[in-house]
Amino acid sequence: MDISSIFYAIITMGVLGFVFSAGLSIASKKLSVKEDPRITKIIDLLPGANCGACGYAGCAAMAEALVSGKAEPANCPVANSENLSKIAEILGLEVTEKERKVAVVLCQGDTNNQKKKAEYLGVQTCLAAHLVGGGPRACNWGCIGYGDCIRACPFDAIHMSENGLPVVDREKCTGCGKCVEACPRNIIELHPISRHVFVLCKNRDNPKLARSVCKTACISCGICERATGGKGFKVINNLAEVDYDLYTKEPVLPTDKCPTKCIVIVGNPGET
Amino acid sequence: MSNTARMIIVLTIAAILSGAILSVYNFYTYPKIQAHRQTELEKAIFEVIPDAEEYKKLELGEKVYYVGCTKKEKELGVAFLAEGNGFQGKISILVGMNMDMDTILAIKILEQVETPGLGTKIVDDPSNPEDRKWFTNQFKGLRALPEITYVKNEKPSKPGQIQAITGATISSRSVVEILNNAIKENREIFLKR
Amino acid sequence: MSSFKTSLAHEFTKGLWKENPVLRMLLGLCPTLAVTNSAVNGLSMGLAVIFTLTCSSTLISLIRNIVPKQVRIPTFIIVIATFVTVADRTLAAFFPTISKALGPYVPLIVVNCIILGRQEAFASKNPVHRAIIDALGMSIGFTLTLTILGMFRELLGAGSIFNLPIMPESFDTWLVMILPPGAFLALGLMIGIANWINSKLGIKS
Repeated sequence: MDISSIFYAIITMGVLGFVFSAGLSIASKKLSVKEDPRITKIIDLLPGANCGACGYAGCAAMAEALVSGKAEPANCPVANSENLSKIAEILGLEVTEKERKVAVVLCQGDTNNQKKKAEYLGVQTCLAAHLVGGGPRACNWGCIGYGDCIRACPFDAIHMSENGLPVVDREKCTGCGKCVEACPRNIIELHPISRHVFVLCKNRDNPKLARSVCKTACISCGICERATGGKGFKVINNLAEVDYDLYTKEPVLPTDKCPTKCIVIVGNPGET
Repeated sequence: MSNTARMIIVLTIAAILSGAILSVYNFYTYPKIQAHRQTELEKAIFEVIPDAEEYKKLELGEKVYYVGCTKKEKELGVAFLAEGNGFQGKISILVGMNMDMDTILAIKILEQVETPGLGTKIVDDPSNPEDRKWFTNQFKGLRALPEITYVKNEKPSKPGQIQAITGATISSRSVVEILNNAIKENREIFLKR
Repeated sequence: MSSFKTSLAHEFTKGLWKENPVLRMLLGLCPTLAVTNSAVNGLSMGLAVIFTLTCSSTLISLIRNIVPKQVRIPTFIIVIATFVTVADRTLAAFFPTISKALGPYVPLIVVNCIILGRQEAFASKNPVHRAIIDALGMSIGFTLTLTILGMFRELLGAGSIFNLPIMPESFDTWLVMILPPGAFLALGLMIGIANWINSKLGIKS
């Protein structure tokens, strides 16, 4: 062990480093793949969540689609508007501001409101329960409560309430649609954030049956339809539905007289 | 600067720095590591020459011998290193023999990198809880001439014979070969001293 | 640069459980199986990994903008290998018994996928303070897992924990637990328990 061994080490490593890096630089020239430099810039501007809401297999695929013109920046519901305009600038496009959409859970059937019909001992996911017999709760249209939507959310924007009903955090929700896909009963829908009045029920059974399974089920009594003069609320197939083109009195309830209180104001006016 | 130049500079500098740091650190730790080896060696000498209380180092050419003796300078045995290849790497054994070098007093395996759980049974066999060091214990008082041999799956029947470890024949065989080669070589040198 | 930043606390805690490198990401299983035959060995390997991962992540995060992407991998490996060699020589010089016990597995930390994985996935793309926290979280998670696994195997296979006899004299030790098959059994059990706990907590596996 003497000083010369330090020199040998430095020289050996230096030569190795030089030889390999020279080799790599030659290889990278000979084997280079031409990639549009805009793609890397755009990937950096996209949120990096790889949620698939745009319809592409992740942010990298979306960047390629944007550059080749197959997609437009507004297809990404998650990116904030600052990054969207930067992306549009890179692509030489005009920025179109689309209104933000958020998820809404159209059911109030938690364990307090829905009757329990059975002790369910199967796989504890909504999908499994839905396929087998509908899970422990009585309504066949309503929330099962095992949280498939909670697990699907990449943004931590939906949580289970104490009584087994999912609650959307409208600030965190990016409208990616994963919870919409996850719900086997299509109870969750995406709506523009300026909408606040919703019929929180999906039950289309006859009124007697609906009432017998859940306290807050829509019993298609028609009071809301009459209160809006047929414009705005209509009862179709045993369920009240909002016609958002016609019902412009948001965020006011059409009437206080809904007997089961299934029409609800969701969120705060003035949210963005 | 061009990407190529940057690649070459960064990697070369990284390599040089690594080489420099490591060789300096090695400079600092090497003596300590050698000291440990020495202490282990000394401890091993007293293990392979039972009853020895002191030892004398004897260098004959390139070979080193450790003659163990009592406090009254009575020579009890001689120890030397036997090295060779095992199944997976170098095996280093300290051999203690009587002064005539025809019988092994004891051996101690100092270094080995055999397959854990199989080849490592040459130093520690947990599947034989009463005598985990049974393999090396076989060599205590073993007749080394004309050579050591081994048998598999049966108890040894002749003098100078030991039993190989089931499932670790190559490691066992390597130990025997290393010992035979070393004993033959060192006999000539030591006995002519 | 993603536009949703997780908090620093989250970066640390994720390595402890939600993204535990051994139990959830199933990385670095080779040293895990090999050195958990006793609690001390598991802990020592963990400490070596804490040192290596933290130092490597710090340095690589600091130089992340200087290194051209074509020589990224060799440069990272040089950094990691340098720290591992320092750790290995330090153990050999100052803790020779542990160095012997861990044997060839300390140099093998260079190719432990946890280390290179965190550099590629995180340290090379994040500022220093985040890289350090991530490295600490991951390596401490690794260490805790290995120590617990080592304690479990040592308890059943040798009747002790950290060389202190725990089991009564009459306990017939389960030798297999300190041998390779026991390693697989114990690790499999631990991963199973982790998955069960997570399914109760509602975290997808």
